[in-house]
Amino acid sequence: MIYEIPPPDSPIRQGDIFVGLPRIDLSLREVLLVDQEGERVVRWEDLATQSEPLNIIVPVRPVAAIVATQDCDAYRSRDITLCEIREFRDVEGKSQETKSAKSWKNILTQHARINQKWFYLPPNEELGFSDKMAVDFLVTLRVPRADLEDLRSLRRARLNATADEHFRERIGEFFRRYPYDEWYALNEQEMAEYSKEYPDAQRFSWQQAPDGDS
Amino acid sequence: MTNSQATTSLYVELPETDVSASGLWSESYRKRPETSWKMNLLRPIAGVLLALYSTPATAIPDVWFIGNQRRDTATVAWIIDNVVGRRITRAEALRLARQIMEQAERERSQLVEWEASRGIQWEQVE
Repeated sequence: MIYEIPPPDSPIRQGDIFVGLPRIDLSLREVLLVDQEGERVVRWEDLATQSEPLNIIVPVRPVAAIVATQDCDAYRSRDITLCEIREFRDVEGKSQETKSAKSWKNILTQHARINQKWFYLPPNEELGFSDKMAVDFLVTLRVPRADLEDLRSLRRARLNATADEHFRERIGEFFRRYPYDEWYALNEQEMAEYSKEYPDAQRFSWQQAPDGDS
Repeated sequence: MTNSQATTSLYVELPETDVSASGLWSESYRKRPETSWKMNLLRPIAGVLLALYSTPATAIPDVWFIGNQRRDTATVAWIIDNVVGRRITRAEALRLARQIMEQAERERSQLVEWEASRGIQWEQVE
């Protein structure tokens, strides 16, 4: 479909899909420190001023991931960044009950129009994608480039040219996101409707209801 | 500011150390000698962690079996608050490491559900 199989010796490129890379989860509240006396749990703030490297135990899970690093950096940089791939329903909660093709169409095409936190990957049995999948831009992995090049056997596919164009646009858009208050120009009635959906939205001074009104 | 001062101080005291980033981290590209106790300590840890977190030995690791696992973690008690600051056994450390990972996955899942309840409901868009 939107995938192609790169030659085994092909350089690593943005959009390459690997299966089985390590995702590490750290906690800064509970660091499992290992030293000569054994193991103990400490808070990161107690270690933050240490100047020497420390040894800690971290949990790691093999996951599927897609290369986020752009091609030039992927060719020569020391590290490569990837984003985790998970089942679509686990990344986009609005799709958890979705069944009809019409509803899927609405969800899956929106990412080309609005700035989402995910990128859709269709099922593909050869890749092991038995269901709809999504790149979760919020969850990143970092691995040494040379090590990843040695493990190109874990590379299952690469996005084709069309998909890659969409991917690089979406990932670029995601990482240039900034917070803004989209309700700033709404009038009183529009703001009232908006507040029903987003009750935590703070009105601007020009949107405050006059004294005596609620 | 504190980091800069600390880095400067460390540079002065240890000018031969290869420093990267903002701390005294010796993660250079060159292999550097490791003390034997560190290696001996890490080897069994790595082995146990590998055994714990490796997927079944299939041709293609079924990385999405975690979805089912994650749903089962709701009953895991979060006990770490009781152990901060004290020595623990290796077994406890490994169990806590797993809890840290499961907690992270659970929190991601909860955020997805919370966000799904807000904004445009695409199911209703014609």
